[in-house]
Amino acid sequence: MTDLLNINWVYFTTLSTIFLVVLGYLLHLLQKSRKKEALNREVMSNMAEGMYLVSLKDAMIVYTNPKFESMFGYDAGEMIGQHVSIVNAPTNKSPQDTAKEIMVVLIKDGEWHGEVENIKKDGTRFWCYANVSIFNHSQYGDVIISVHTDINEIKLAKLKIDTKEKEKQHVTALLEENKQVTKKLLNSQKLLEQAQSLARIGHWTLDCITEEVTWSKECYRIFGRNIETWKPSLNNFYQDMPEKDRYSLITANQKALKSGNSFNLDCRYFRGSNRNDLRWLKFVNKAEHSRDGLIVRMVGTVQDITEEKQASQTINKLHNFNRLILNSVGEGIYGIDLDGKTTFINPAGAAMLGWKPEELMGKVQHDVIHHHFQDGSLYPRVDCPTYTVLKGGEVQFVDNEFFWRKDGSNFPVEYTCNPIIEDGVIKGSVVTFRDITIRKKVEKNHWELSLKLEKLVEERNKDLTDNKQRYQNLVESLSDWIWEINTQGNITYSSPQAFSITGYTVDELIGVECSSIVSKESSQIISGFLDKCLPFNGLELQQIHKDGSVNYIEINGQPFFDHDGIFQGFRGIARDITARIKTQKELQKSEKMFRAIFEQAAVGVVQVESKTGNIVQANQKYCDIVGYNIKEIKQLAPQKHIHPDDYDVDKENMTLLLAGKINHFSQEKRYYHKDKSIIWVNKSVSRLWTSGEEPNFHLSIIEDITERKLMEEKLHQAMLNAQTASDTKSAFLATISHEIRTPLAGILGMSELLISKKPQDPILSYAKTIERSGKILLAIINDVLDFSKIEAGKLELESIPFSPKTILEDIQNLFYESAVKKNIKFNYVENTTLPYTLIGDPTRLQQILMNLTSNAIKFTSHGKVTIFTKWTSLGESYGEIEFHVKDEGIGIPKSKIRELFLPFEQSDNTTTRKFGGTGLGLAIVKNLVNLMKGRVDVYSRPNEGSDFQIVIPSKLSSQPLIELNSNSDFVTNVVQEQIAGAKVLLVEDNTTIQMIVSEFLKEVGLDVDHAINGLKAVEMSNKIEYDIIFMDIQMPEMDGYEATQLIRKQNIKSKKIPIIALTAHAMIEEREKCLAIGMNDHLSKPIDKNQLYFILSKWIKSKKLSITSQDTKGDAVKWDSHKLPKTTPSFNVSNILKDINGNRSLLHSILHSFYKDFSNSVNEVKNCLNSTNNENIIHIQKLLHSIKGVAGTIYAYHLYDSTDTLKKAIQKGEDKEQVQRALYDFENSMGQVLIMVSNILTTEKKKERINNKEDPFCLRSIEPVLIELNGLIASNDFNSFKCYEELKPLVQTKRDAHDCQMIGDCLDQMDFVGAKSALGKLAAAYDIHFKK
Amino acid sequence: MRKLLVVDDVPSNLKLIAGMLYSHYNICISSKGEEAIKIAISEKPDLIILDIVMPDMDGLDIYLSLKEDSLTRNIPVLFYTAKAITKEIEKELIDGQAYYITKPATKTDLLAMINSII
Repeated sequence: MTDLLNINWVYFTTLSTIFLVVLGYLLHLLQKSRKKEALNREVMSNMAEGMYLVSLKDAMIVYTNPKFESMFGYDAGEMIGQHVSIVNAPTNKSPQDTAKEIMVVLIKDGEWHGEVENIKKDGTRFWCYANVSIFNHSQYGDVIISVHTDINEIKLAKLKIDTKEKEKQHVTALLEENKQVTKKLLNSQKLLEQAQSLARIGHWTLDCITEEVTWSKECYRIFGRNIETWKPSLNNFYQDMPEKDRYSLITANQKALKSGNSFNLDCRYFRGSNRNDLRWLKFVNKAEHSRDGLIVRMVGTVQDITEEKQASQTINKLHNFNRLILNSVGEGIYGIDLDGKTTFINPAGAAMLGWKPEELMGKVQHDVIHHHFQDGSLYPRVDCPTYTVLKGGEVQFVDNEFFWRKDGSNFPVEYTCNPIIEDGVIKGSVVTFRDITIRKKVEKNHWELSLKLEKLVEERNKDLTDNKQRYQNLVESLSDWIWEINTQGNITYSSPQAFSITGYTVDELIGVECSSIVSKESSQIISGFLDKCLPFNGLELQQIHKDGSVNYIEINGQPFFDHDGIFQGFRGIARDITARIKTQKELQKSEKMFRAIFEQAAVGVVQVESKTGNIVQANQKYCDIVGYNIKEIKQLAPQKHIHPDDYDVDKENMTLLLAGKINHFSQEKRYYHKDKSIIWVNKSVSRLWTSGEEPNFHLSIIEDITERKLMEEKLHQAMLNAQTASDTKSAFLATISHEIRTPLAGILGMSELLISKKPQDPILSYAKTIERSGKILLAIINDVLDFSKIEAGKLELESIPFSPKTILEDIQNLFYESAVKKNIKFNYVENTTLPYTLIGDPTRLQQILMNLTSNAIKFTSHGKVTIFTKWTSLGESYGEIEFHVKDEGIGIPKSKIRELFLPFEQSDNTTTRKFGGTGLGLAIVKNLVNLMKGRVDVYSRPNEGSDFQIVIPSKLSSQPLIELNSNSDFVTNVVQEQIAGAKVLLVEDNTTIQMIVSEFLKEVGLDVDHAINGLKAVEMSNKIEYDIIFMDIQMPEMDGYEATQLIRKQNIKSKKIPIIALTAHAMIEEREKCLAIGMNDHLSKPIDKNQLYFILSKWIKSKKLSITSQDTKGDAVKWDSHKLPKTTPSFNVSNILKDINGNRSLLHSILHSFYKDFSNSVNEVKNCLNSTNNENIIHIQKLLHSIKGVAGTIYAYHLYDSTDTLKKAIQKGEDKEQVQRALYDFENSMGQVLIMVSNILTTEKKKERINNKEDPFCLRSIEPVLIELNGLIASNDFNSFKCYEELKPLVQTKRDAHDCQMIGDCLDQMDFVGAKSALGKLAAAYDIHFKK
Repeated sequence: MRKLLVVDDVPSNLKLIAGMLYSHYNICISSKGEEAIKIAISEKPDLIILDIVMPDMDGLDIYLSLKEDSLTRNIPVLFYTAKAITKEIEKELIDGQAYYITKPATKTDLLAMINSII
C-alpha cells in the first residue's frame, strides 16, 4: 500500500515536475520577451495556466489572463487594480502577510514557487501551485508574474493520504481510498492532458533500463503519429530528425543521463516522417533518479514551436535580437545601428573585450574594438565587414582579424555579421564573435606538426628513392660512359653519357655491334680482347661519332661471367680523351715553335734557376753576345761575366720578382765579353712561374746595346759642350750689353741734356736724331738681353693688377705718330667688354704688343694697321684675353710662318736689309706668350697682310687698380720738398754719366760731390757725411763692390748711408749681388730721371730728421738679409670710397691727413728705436698703434701686417735682427703707401681744379657759409669739412685764400679751436664778427 | 638724425670713421679728451665712440669722466680700438655700461654695432 502510495506520489511529483518545466519555460519565454507586449499578450491570453501580473510598486494587480480570471471566478478585468492579497486565502497568516512573505523571497531570489492556498471570488479555498518571478514589463514596469496551476485535487488527496497514514488506517480501507485517489489522480492526469493539449505541450518518459518510451497524448499529436498504431521508440523517433538535430538531441540526452542535469533543446523533426513537414520542437528534459541515486528514467516535455519560431522571425525585430542572443550564449554578441553605434552587447562579449556592457552602449563599435589591424596599421571603418554588412546586407564571416580589449591588448577573433533586415530594409547588424586564440594556437601547432610529419615522410621517401636511385645516379652522373657488351660484341647496356661521347642515344646503342661505332683498327683491337676474355686498361680507341667525326676514347673493360663461370661479355668504362689528345698535339707543335724562336732569336735568351742563379739553358745569340759556348755558360759564375759595378743594379728588382710582386723588369747593365771587353746589354727578366707557385725559373733576355750606349755618351758630351757654349753666350751677351750700354748712356744722356738746352736748328734736329738713334740701339740691346734672359730661363714674370685698356691706349699713343708718318691708318678698336683690371705682367704684355705693332707698321707701306681685342670669360674670376694686330702689309708665305718665331729669322733674309731689326722681336713675343701660358697664332697671305693673334689666360683682379702716375712735375715737387739740401756723393768714372746724373741731381736742389773711383769715394765719405751715395760698379782702381764694403766698415754712421748701385748690368744676378754686398738699392743705366727721383725720395731722410739722426746711435742696419719689396697694391682706394659714400674730397682730406701724420713715421720709429729711452719706446708703440689702426681702415693690409709685426717685435724685445727685418718691411710698405697717397693727392688736386673751373654757377654768397661754418666748428661737427670745401672757392683774394687755408689746416689736425680763430680772422675780412 | 661723438687722436682715422657714418648720423668729432667731454656736455650725443689709446687722456679716462658727470652719465659709450681690452674696461663691458668693437671694423659691422646700441 505504501508502495502504491509511493508510486502515486512519484507520479504526482513527476507531474509537478512537468508542470514546473512547462511553467519554467513559459516564464522563461515571458522573461525573454518581456518587452514584447503583443507576443506577451498572445501567449498569456492563450495560456492554459492562470497568470496574473502584479505591480511591484504598489502590489496592485495589473493584468490577469482569462484562465486566471475563470480560475478565481472573477469577470474579465475585474481583478485589475485590486491588491494582490485578494487571491490568498486567510490561513494562520493573513493574505497580506502571505503576499509579503512571497515578496521577500522574490526580491531576494528573483523567483518563488510553491503551493499556496488561494481563495476564489466566492470564498472557495483551493490549492494552487504558483510560480512567481519578477521582471520588467514594458507597459507596467517592474511586475511580479505569477502563474497558478490548480492542484487542489492532488493536494487534497495527498493531505488525505498523509492524514490516513498518520492515523494508520486499515490497509484495505487505505487501498480503497487509494483506488479512489488513483482514480482521481487519473482524472487529474486527464486534466493535465487537457492542459497540455491546450498549451500544445506533450510529455514523455524514457525508461533508461528498458529504453521504453511513453508519450502523452499530446505527444502523438505533436509528432503526427497515430496513438493506436504507433509504438514510440527512441530509434524511430531519431530517424525522423535531420541529422544535425538528431545529433544535438542524442548528445544532450547522453549528457543529461550522465550528469543528471536537465536540458532544454530546440530541434527539428519531420512530423509523421513527412519530409515536407519540418517542425521545430522544444524539448525540456530532466533525469529521474532512483532512491539509490541511479538514473532510472528521463522525463520531459515537448512542444511544437514551429509557429512561434516563424512568428518570432517576422513579428518582432527585438524578438529577433533575443533569438540571436539566445543562440549565441557563450559567444560575444553585439548589435549595431546604421551609424555603427552599439545598440546592445551581451555580457559575455563585453567581458571578452574587458568592458562593461553599458560602457559600450552608443559608442561606435569599430572605433572601440576594431580600430587597428594587429600590425598596428589603422583599420578604416569603411573596410570593416561590420560596416559593409550594413551596406550590402550580405552575411559576413571573418576569422582572421583581431579585436582590441579595453586594456589595449588584442585577440584573434572569428566573427559573423548578420544584417538586421526589417521590411526589406537594413536597420543594423548583429555581430557574433568568438575569441579564437586557443584555436589559432592549436591550428598552428597542428600545422607545425603536420609539417614535421610531411617532412619525415618526405625524408623517408627520399631514403627509399635514394637507395634505389643511387646506383643509377652514380652511373649517369659520371662523365665517363659505362657500357656492357655481350659475347657477340653487341651493346647490352649503356649509360646516358654515351650520347655526349658518341652522339648516339642509349636507345640507339642497345643491341648495336660495338665495332660499328669505332674505327676499323679499333674494332680489330676490340675483337682481339673479346676473343681472349682478358681485362684491358687504358686502351685508346678511335671512336666514330654519329656525325662522322673521330673521337679518341680511353677504355677499360672487364669480362664478366655467369654463376657457372661461363663468359657473358664485357663491362667497362670509356672516357672521351679527344681534347687531351688534341692538346698534346698542340703542345708538341707550340713547343717546336718556341724552341725555334728560342734558338733563332736575335736577342740572347737564357733560362735561369731563380734560387741559385744557375743558367739552365741559353740560346745561340746569348752565346754570341757574351762570347762563351753553351757548355761554358752553364758553368759560368755570374761574377765572371758581369761588370762588378753593375752586379747589384738589378738586385732590388730581382727580389721583387722572386717575391712575386712584379712579373718582369728591364735593366741596362754591363757584361764582360769572354775577351774582357765591356758589353752594354738591356736585360729583360720575366718569371716563369705563376702567382702562388714557388719560384722556379726565370727568363732573361739580353740585347746588346753597346753601340747605342756609346752613341748616347757621345750625345751627352755634345750636350754638355752645347750647354757650356750657351752659358758662355749668355755671359758674353751680358758683357756686350754692358759694354754697349755704357757709351750709349753717354749718347742718350748728352743728347737729352743738349735738347733741354733748347738749341737752334739744325743742332736741335741733330741732337734729336742722335737721341732717337740711341734709343733704337738701346731697344735692340734690350731685345738681345731679354732674349738671352728668356733662353737662360731667367726671365720672371710679375703678377700684379693692371689695366689692359691703359696698355692699349699707350700702344696707340706710341705708334700713332709713326703710322701717320708712314701715311698709313692706325685703327684701335676700343672694346667695352674688356675687364677693367687683370692680374699679370703689364710691362711684358706691353712689350709683346709693341713688338707686334711695330712689326705691323714696319711691314705695311699703305693701308691700315688695326688693333682689336676680345675677352672670353671662363669663370667667375678668370678668362682669356685675345689681342689682334692686323696689318695690310707684305704678308708672310705659309711655308715661312713656322720659322717666323725662331730667333734671328725674318720671313726673308733680305728683309733684314730692307726693314731692319734684329729678328728677335717675334721670338721674344713667342717666348713671353709661352711664359704667360698663352698662344700666338698668325693668319697671313703674301701681299694681303697678316693677323697676329695672342690669347692669354688671365685672372680678374679683385682689387681695382690705382694708376701709378709718373707725373714728373709731382715727383720733382715731392722730392724737392723732402730732400732739398741733402748731400750726395756720386761715384762714377765715366765723365759723361757723371755729368748727366749730377745735372739731374742739381735740378732738385741737391749738393753733389764727385768721386772718380771707389778709392776716392771711401776717402770722401770718411770726411763728409753724405745723405746718399750713388755708386758705379765697374771702375778702375777700386770697383763699387769693394768701395761699398769699405765704406760700411768705416764707422757707425757710414753703415747707415744709403748706397745706390749704378749699374749697366741689368741682369737680376747683378742686382742681387749689389744688395748682398751691402748696397741698398740699384739704378740701371742709362739713368731714367724719374727713377732717380723715386730712389731719392725713398732713401733720403728729410733734412730735419737727418739732423736729429746725427745724435742717435745704434747698430747698423743689416741690409744683406733683406729681400726686395714685393710689388702689391699698397692700399685699396675704392674700398675707402665705398665706406665714405664716394666722397672724393673727403678721401682727399683723409689721405692728406695720413700723409701729414705719417710721412715721417719711418724715421721717427728708426730714431726712437736707436734710443734706450723708455719714453721713446712708448712713443713708438703709440705711433705704431695709430698707424695700425689707420692702415686697417684704409685697407692697407701689407702696412697693417708689417706694423703689427714690428710692434710685436719691439714689444717682445726680440733680437735686433728680427726687429730690423720687421722695420725694413714696415719701411717698405709705408713707403709704398705714401707714394701712392701722394700720387692720388696730385691727381685729385688736378681734378678738383678742373671741377672748380667747370662749375662756376654753384657759387654761394660767402657770408652764410662763414656763419654756417662757424656754427659747425663750434660743435666740432664733422660737416665742418664739407662746409669748408664749399667756402674755399668763395674766397677771392690771395690773402683771404691764405686765411682760408689756415682753417683747412687746423681742421685737418682736428684743431677746432685753431680753426675757429682762423675763421674769425677770415670772417672779419668780410665784416662778420662772431661772439667769442 | 641721431648724433654721435667720435673721439680719436689720429685725424685720418677720425675722418674715416666719420666718413663712414656721416650719411647716417650727425657726427661730432674730437681728437682730444677734454674737448670731447666738453662737446659731450654741449651736444648731448646719443652715443660716444671712443678710441682707447690716446696721448693726453686715454679712452678709459674719458669714459670715467663722462660717467662722473650727471649730464653725460647716461650716454652709451662704444670703445673702438685696435688694442685688446683692459680689465677695467672689461668690467664696464660686463656691467653693461660700455660696448666694444675691434678696430679696424668694416662699415657694416660698425653700423650694426651702433644700431644695436641706439
